[in-house]
Amino acid sequence: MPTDRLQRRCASPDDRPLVLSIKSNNARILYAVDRKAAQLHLTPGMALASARAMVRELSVVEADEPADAKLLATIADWCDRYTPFVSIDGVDGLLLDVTGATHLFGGEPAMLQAVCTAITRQGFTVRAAIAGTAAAARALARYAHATIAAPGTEAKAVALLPVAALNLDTADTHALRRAGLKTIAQVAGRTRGELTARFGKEMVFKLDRALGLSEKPISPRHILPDYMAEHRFAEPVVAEDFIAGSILSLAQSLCHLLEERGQGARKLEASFFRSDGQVSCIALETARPLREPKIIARLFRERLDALSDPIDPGFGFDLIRLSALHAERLVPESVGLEARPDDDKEIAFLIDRLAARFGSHRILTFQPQDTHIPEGAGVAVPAQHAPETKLDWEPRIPGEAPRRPLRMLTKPEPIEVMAQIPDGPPLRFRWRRALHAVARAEGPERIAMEWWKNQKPQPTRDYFRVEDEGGRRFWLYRDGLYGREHFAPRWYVHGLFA
Amino acid sequence: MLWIVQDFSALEYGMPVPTGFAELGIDPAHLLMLRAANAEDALRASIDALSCYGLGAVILEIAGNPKVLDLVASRRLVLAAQHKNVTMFLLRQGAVAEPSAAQTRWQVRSHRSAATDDWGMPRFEAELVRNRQGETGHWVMEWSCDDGVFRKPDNQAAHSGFVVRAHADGSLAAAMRIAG
Repeated sequence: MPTDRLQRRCASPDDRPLVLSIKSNNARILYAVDRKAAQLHLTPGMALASARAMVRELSVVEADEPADAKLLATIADWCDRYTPFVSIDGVDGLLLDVTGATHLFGGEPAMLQAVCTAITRQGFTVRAAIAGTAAAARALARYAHATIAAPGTEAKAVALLPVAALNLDTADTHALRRAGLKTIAQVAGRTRGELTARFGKEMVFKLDRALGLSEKPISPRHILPDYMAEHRFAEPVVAEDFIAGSILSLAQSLCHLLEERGQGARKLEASFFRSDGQVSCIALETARPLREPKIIARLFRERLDALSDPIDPGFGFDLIRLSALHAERLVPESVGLEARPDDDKEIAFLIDRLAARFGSHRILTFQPQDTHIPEGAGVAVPAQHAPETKLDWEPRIPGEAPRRPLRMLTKPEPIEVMAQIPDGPPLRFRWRRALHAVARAEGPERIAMEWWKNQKPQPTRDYFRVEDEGGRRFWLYRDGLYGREHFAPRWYVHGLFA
Repeated sequence: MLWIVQDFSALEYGMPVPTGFAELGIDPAHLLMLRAANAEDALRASIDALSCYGLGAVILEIAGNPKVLDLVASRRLVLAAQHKNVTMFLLRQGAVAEPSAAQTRWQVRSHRSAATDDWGMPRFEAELVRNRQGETGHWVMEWSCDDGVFRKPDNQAAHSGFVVRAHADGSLAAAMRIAG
């Protein structure tokens, strides 16, 4: 695959054999070789110097492992079209769990053929196989391309493969060969006790999996959606309104599924599979379980409109899938006689729409916190994910003027202050270059920092409510107590009253 | 109530804080806040919000005089507000007066408290500069945090009827300008 990556990129293929080199233990060794180089008996792991000695005309490129991993991930995304169970195997393999999916593609042989053709068309060399267990399929794919082993016949299918197909570590493979065990059948012929004693339990597990005797489930790359619906198109589609229409009809089928189970979607994802192998996914979340196709379609339209780089259909999408990644129980609500049940629903829909357009971190609600530090007393949390809270807002004292400002500066701003007495309220202060004369002041309200939360002790703050001559009200504080915590404490503006 | 704040004005004038609302007698649980990256997003969001009749009011804060907020944009806001009967307040900060389609325009500034020793309720000086449906005027009023109304700041007759009820302008859009 690494050589395929380079050859796909270069328009004019070089006719020299291509090898990728990597530095290992201070020596340049071959990392991957292309078909031509392989025919000249160059193998990965060989020293670059000896490769050059064997083949004079050799084009050598530095290996780029992250790029390879990225490419493999792209192919894996593309393979999502066949089954949601896709996992990456090593640096150049993919495992697909196609249980129950093969009939959609016309049976196992047809599906294997289709996968191979599609990936070859994208410019890759592919080897594939189907078997009852992942390990058996892996061994067959790498050493016996295009084999299909029905469940129960894995042992026979892998019998003649070399021991390297077991995916053991190099030392163990080498040791097996030295012991004269060249094929899997020969290894399987030994008693398990012997093998465990020599190679450990892990090796025996791997052998059993390859023989189809036990199975280790593959872990999929993505969270499996709770529900999904998809449209496959015979001809790739490009037209925007066609895509929008398709999302609406997918939403209808998805909502039908959700309704059967009495659930509503909280997290939705639309995946667009381009015919040339690119996959773009767009996810959105909702504030409450949702089961209305029109609203789902509308939210996706908002989301698509708001994308800074719109998804590029290229030569068209041949598969669009809508999945509910997370669903929750949707309780049918009972409606009181005079209440307006639509209000909450309307607001939840508005929150979803705004979140789809601007991002869920921008639409916020406030929640009380159990602290008396002014800036921490109420936090803004994304409205879609606001957790239930048992705390209440601190009740105001009747008859008392506001003790907290309406607006608080994100960062208190230092001011220059003239005060009559060190501990008293300021007489005049200068904030943002304007001088304010204090007409009246109220305070101090002494707020100590929470020493049980901070490692470093922080100074106590003395807050003053201050009104200047124009009637504007400010919330100032002195950071630290005179004489005890600081010799010259600084003053800050923290907030503005209404 | 939905309050739309631009990122810029949050930096310049500070973020609205829930404790402050609670102190003014407004339940912060009824408050939704949207932080918009720029004036364009803020306008777009407010049009969206005005189509939702579950909201009591939409407050849109616009700092300065952005180009996107022209007569057409403000007319669109008025129509949207009238259609769904949602009150909309457009708060202009640090702006130069310019024509708008709003029903009323207020200039609000803080006013000095009474010359007593105790720290009183906040007072405002409000000038109704423009009113499409009636007279203009000038009032000094005091926000009474306990019952959520503006009162005439008159010490002797503090309980004598109120001048302007909160949200007195019903479903109409009002452009308010905070001076200073």
